[in-house]
Amino acid sequence: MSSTYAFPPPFWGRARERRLSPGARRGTVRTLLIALALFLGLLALPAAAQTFPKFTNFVVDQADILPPAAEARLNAGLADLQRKTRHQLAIVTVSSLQGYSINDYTLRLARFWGVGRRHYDDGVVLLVAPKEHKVRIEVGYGLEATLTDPRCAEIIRNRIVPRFERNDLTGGIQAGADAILARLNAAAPLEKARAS
Amino acid sequence: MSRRLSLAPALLAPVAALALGGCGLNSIPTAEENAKAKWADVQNEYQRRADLIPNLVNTVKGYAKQESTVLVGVTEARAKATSIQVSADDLKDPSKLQQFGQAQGQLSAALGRLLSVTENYPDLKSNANFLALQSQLEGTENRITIARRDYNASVQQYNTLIRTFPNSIGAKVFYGAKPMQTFQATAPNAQSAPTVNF
Repeated sequence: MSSTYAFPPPFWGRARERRLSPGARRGTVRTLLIALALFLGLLALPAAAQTFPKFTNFVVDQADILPPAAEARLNAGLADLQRKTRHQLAIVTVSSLQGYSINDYTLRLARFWGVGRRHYDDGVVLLVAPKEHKVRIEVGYGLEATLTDPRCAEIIRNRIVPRFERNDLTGGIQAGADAILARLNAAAPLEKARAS
Repeated sequence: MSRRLSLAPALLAPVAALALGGCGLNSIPTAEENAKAKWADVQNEYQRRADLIPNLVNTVKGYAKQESTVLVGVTEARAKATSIQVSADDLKDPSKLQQFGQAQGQLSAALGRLLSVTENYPDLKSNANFLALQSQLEGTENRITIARRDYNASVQQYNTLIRTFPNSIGAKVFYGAKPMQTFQATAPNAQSAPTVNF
């Protein structure tokens, strides 16, 4: 966010030239610059409160822990899931939870992105925060019968955490994603459940 | 002449509808119903937690009979918590919400004691049924937090609506609308639902 407000070098160049020009203009320019900086500072403060990575693909590797090949493989699997079942699974690695609890952060991110179809609430987010050593599977209400709490806990406990403890972050994410995908691909579609 | 006069009400009606629409004639009940629906979610999640408890108590009993005080404490707190229900019409009454919150807070505390006691029983902690119940309990506590936050946000929206111009006029004149109460967690550690570390 802050990079948006950084001034490009040519502007500084011109400002320095102007500052060399005599008289009151020098003061005016400086005052204006200070006022502008203060104003932008005010703008930047609330914007820095909580920022989310952009929803660019099914896998958003902000923490940069996944090798490109693994990321491509995951993306293919998740795209396949959406094509077959229309559910959405997003896999996110974040560089920081920005002081929020992982539960809170994941839910806010899932709502901010709008993962899953609105009326079915069938989105799932697998979020990994390597810095904070936290992992969470957030399940939309529509899929809670398919991916129950015990099932998610089991996936984290038996598939993901053992690999993470061996420092195999990629393997853990892949194993977790495979388990979730297997479960979602095997489940009956929501549309039929609703019609009956 | 008389024909023209009879047209006047027909012409006035849409104007009046527009003017009253600006007074929150629709938006106030909409916001109120939204807050009530969010409260129903809160109660559903608490009920879901209460439904898990008998099974949890039975599972723990199988491994830790000697912890009967803690187990009885949970059962009693559950009975007390489920006996207090807050209907949608009570949401403007702070004492009702406080009672509900206190009873649920005591149940949270009793559950906390139960879960800390289970730490001493490794066999119980690796029991598949117990692990499943524990994760369900964690998930439900988390959903309670979310439902409570969503409810409070909707109440805030409603309260702001009935207090700000021009809706405040409609709120007073048509509905005599009173502010709704937010719901705060009373247990000391109710805010922090347990998470998984690796």
